This record gives sequence, structure tokens and C-alpha cells, in this order.
Amino acid sequence: MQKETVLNGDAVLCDAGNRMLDTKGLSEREILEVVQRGNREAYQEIVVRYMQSAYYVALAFVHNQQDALDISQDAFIRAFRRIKKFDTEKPFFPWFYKILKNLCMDYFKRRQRRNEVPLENVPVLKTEQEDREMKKALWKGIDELPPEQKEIIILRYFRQLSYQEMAEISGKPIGTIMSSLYYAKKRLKGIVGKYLGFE
Amino acid sequence: MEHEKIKELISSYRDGVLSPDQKKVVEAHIAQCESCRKEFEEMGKFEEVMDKMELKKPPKEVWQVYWSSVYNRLERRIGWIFLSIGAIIILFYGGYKAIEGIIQDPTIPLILKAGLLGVLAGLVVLLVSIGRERIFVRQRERYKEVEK
Repeated sequence: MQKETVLNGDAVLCDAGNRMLDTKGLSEREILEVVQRGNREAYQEIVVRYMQSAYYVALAFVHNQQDALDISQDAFIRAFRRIKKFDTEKPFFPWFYKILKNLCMDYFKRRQRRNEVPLENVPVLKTEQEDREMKKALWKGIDELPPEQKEIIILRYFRQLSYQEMAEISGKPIGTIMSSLYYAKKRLKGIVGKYLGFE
Repeated sequence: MEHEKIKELISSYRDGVLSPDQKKVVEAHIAQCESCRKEFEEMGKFEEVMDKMELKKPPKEVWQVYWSSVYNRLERRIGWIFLSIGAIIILFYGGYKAIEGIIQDPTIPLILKAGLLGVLAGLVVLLVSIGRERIFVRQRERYKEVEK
């Protein structure tokens, strides 16, 4: 049975005998090659590395924390089942992201999206009420964007990915990313503008 | 340069993706064009707001047990596979013995035996058909695009 040990508030890798697995010095490609040989424990390194990104991307799409947790874990499980077909010369996350995104899309087909605003209560405007209204309007605006623009906004502002990284993940040229981001920002700026004193 | 094009460049200005020449074009334009300068300032305020947006964080414990949840589900799948195979074997053997008993029972009318065999044949054909369809769909599943 896999054991989880916590050091300094972070999970560390342990095998069934509670010995730490030595993945130090191994590149992602090398770790994935070990995983491809059937080593489930080695997969832990990959999961721990990308679990937060997976969770937050899912949360941005599905709005609910529990569903985001379930979907992100499902995505790791599906990725593991397909890991032998993965080309280890390529980075893991763009490949994994497609699986995750497809699961989020499937989620929408199975159930109605929850109308929650999954944003932290960090004050942005002067009054709490204005703040709440602005965030609700902004989130609704993000949700109503065309799918490609919504995806780019999520990756840019909630995962802080660079244009290059967004291009790799989405498989689109940087010029298209810039254009999608421009139209998305234009629309969202219009929503936020009335709370900031401009239209 | 057209205003719309300049506005598109303004949108990317703070993201650090413009070349030095593109930045100079933007800076030179907004120095002379009030509408684009206003756009530049508004975009700056918009970016400040967006930079403060954060998705809700889960409790820290979630990350500590995240891998355990994934690992347990990976292991459970194997358990379900064994359980399913075992159940199928028991079902088939039990079914075979029951059918054998009915066919060999001389008190049961022939027409009933023929009907039972017909039902069984139909079930087998349906199962094979569903199995073939699933294999056909699996070969064309969308995740194929994420393979090499």
C-alpha cells in the first residue's frame, strides 16, 4: 500500500515500505519512461508536479471545487492508462491537458454547469458589494466567451502561462493566441470597465 | 498603422511578447493618439484587476492525499477487473448447467426448449454485436489525437 509522508507541509514520495523513491536527478522524460514500464509509484512524481495545474484548470471550466478535484484525478488515471502510447520526447502537460479538457467538456454534456463563481475573496474594488458584483459579472463574461477565447483567458490569467506555453498546449500559432486574447480582453474589459469608471 | 491593429498590440504590450520595434510603434502612436492612449491606460487597469483574480484554493490537506486517491483508484480498477472476470465465469458456468438441466429434462416440452435456445442464440448475437461496436468506436475514439 502506498504511503504518504508529509515533510515541511509537502507530500513526498514513498514506496510500500515507506522508503523514499529516488527520482531526484531524473528528468520528466526519464520518469515517464519508468512509468511506461509499469511503475505506478514513479507516476506519483508526475501527479504531484501537475496536480495543482490540473485542479485549477478543471475548476475554471466546471466552477465547482469537488467536481474539479474528481475530474482532475480522472484525467491522471486516464493518462496513466494511455501512458504507453505517449511520446516521452514531448512534454507531458500539453498531452495531459487535452485529456483533462475533454473530460471537462464531457462533464458539461452530462450535467448542467453549476452557477458558482470560483474566485477567491481577494478585495479588488473599494466596497465589498461592488467587488462581489464585478467578480460575478466578470466570471459570467468569461463563461460566455467562445470556447477558444475562454480557454486562453483561463490559461493566461489563472495558470499564468506564457504565450509560447499556450501555443504549445492549444496547438495554435502565437499569432492566433494573441488575436484570441485581444478579442477576449476587449469583451471582458467592457464588463469590468463600468466598475472601474470607464466603458 | 490602423487603430485596431495598434489596440491589438496594446493588448499584448504588458505580456512581454512584443518585439522592441513593435513596442516603439505602440509608444510612438499613443503619444499622438488620444483614443489609443486612453485604451492603453484602460487596458493597464484591466490587467491590474485580472492579475488579482485567483481561483478558490482547496484546503491544504487536499494536496497531501491527492496522490493516494489517484493511486487507490488505479489499484481498485484491477480489483474490479478480477471481480468481473470471476462473476462472468460463475454466471456462464451456472447458466450452462441450468440450460443443460432443462434440455435433458424429458418432462419439459420441446417447444419450450426451442424457445429457450432461441433466446440464448439471440443474446449471444446481441452481445457479439455490442462488443464489435465498442471495438469499432474505441478504434476511432477522440483520444487517438493525443497519441504520438
